[in-house]
Amino acid sequence: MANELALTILMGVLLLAIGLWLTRIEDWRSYSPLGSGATGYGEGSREATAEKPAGVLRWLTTVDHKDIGILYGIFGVISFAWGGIAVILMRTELATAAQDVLSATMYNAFLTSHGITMLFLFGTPILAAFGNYFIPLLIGADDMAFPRINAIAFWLLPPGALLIWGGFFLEPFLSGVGPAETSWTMYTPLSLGEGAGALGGSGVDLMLLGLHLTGVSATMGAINFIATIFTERGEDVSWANLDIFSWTMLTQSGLILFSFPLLGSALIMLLLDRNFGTLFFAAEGGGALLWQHLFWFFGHPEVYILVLPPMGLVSLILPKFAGRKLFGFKYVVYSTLAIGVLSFGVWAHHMFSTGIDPRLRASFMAVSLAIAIPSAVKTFNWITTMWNGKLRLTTPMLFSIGFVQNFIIGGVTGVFLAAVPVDLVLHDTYYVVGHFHFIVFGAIGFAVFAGIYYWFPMVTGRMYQRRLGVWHFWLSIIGSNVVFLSMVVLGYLGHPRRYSSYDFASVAPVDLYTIFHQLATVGAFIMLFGQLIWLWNMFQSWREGPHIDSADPWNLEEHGQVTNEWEWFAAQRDDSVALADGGEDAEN
Amino acid sequence: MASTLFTRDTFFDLLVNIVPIVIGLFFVALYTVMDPWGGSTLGRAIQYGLILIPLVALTILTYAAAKRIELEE
Repeated sequence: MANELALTILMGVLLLAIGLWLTRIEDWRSYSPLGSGATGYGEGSREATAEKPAGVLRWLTTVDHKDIGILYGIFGVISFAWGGIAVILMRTELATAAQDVLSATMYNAFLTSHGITMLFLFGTPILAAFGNYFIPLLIGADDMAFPRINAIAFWLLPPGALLIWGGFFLEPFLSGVGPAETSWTMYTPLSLGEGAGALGGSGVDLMLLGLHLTGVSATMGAINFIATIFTERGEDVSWANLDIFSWTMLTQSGLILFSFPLLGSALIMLLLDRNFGTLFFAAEGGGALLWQHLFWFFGHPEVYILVLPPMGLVSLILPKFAGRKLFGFKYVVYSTLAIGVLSFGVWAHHMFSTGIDPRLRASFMAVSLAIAIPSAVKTFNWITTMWNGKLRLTTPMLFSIGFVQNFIIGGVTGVFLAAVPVDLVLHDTYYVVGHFHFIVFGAIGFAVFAGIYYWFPMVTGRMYQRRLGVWHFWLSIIGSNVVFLSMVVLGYLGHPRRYSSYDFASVAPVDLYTIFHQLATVGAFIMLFGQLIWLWNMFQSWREGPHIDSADPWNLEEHGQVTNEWEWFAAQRDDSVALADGGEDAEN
Repeated sequence: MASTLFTRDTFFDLLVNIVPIVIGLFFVALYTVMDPWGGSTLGRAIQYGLILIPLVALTILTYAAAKRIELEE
């Protein structure tokens, strides 16, 4: 006992010493804000500014919306890598029908982690990255309405992620703890720990707690965005000329506000059922379907939480390289609001095959079909914006066009699923997986990349390598379509989802399944290669890319498309040139 | 700046939200005429409520947003 205590104290002292040492390193990729002399984050200034401490302490204590945006972005990229590695391992396993690379339990664990990570730890945070960095700039605010809450919201995420992934880390050391195998839907009774196998044991509890933290984080962030957009707009920014990205973030924040607390409550109920003998989701209590209703009442708005801001990004970026203003701006705004409201009325279309009352099923079908309209309208807006425009096929534009293409396929495959008779045939097949991946990676992922490339010069003061950007685009669009179209076909062939092996020759065309699975695996590796190129491009260009020679790297002024954030950037650079020797960089 | 929301231009701006409302109402009418399932009044009430509540919410939000956007221009 005394030994353990001494070890604990020693460990504490050691960690404290490391922490103090880290705060002493001043050249921690620290940067001076643009207005204080340097030209961006990558400059490695050795001096702290008057406002911010140097070293890692500066990143741990920052309440600057731009810094927090960058922290969200880096966190999102780490999560993207985790989720990506998980799926590469899964796709490797699926290259053959037999179980030969991963165990079934490890496959299930990766499947769960891939879904949860990509949705909660990559999707929502990476959008918060854009929101934090650019919304105050777009609406002419000094910062977010509640800068400290902003920082707290971000700092809840890393512990949340550690808890969600905790089962993987703890499995080698503790018995009864392993990665959760519940799938991201966490359906009861599976997630109650019933049935064969431990299914993650306490790892599931850790994951539920981690999800709860990320939910609190998202809710705090949402309140901040709502307050910022309502109260911090500049004098020249009215509701009528509020930019489209802010509209979509505002709507998204409204959705988060109404849906994430419900997820939090449901998670607590599940934790109580698992650990304290309550019967919320037990057969003798509320029943397993209660979980599905609560989960999808959150889960379907979550889909729009993830897709609305990317729609805003594309609506903002695409016109810049089409040489025209967004066609039907108001249509996009109103349809965003329509999607926001209607998204709360469609949750049970995920439950058509549960034996739900057919009258209720019919109602959910009606609203699900109705919500297709505002989504489709946006597609026509984007196409019409490009029609007869002077297109400049820069990397952000390529990704925006890729977004539209993938969104059309993802959307059309989704409309069919909204129809009860079709859904009953395709439910729980790979068709559904193909459909939603066209949206979550094909659309959301592509819009995120469009945003990253578009604002890369502003954030870093440097330009990325264009040729690598184009490679990244083509590998991503080809890879994603090969994977997801293969999945759609597998669904038509009746292949059930969530299987780690598919050697069921007596009941299904395994040879045919194998061909399409192998196609999908090849596509996944093509995508992986593309993302590695992107990572290298970002890393290398941030450190060594050529400095941009003006505050308008996209020639927006020439096309009459300058928006507030670029005006802010130009003003910062002007100040920077006037105030310090660092102006040399800006001029060359 | 328009002095009223009920103009031809505003109507066309809002068409994108009016169409889903019309689709919802179409299904309400359809399920009223064709009711292959029968059943209790409560079941029917929930059936209609699930369509009508989102539509009412959409109408209110569209009106509130239009008032801010159209009249501020």
